[in-house]
Amino acid sequence: MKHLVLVCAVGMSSSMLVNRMIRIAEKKELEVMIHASGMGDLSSFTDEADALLISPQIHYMEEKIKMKYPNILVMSLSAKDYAEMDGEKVLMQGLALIKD
Amino acid sequence: MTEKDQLQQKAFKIIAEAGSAKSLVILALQAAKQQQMKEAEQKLAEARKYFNDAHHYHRDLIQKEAQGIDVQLSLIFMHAEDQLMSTETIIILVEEMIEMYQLIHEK
Repeated sequence: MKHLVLVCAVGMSSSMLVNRMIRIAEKKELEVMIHASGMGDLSSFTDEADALLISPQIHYMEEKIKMKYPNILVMSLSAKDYAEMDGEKVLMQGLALIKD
Repeated sequence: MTEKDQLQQKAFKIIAEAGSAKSLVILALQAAKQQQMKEAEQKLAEARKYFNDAHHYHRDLIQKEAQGIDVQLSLIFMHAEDQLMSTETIIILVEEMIEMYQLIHEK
């Protein structure tokens, strides 16, 4: 099963967006596991994650995260998509990233 | 959309816009460290723009409350205010720090 992790500063806003993504995934019967994480507990997901989706407030850490986890796909989410809390759009972006 | 949903949406907008501002302002500082002053200035200007957008959402809610309309508080909204405040502080400090880098590089 594919595993997406949404990362923000403390894992609060990302967890709300993740809830929406899970609802969409269930509705579409997609085989995907989605978690929210703050920067502090990111390491507890990185053994299994296929892709990390980075929220706008930690865009500046993207390069550091890529260097630390070279085997995981990393993508920054746009402020617009994040602000709109569009679970479907973010989910599809994450799945497209894994597929490529 | 319920009032709670609307407020949640506004909170998310503030978090995303203020968050982008925070990321940009840190990138501006890192550019200044590398002596790329033009890029630092560009990033700083972009950060200010994002911050102002976030601030507008917040101001609208404050004005609503001032008009006597009750704004229901939630943890996510407080989190948004927290992001807004910390970003404001970081922007003020980074502006000073970029000037410091400029002085250091000129020596």
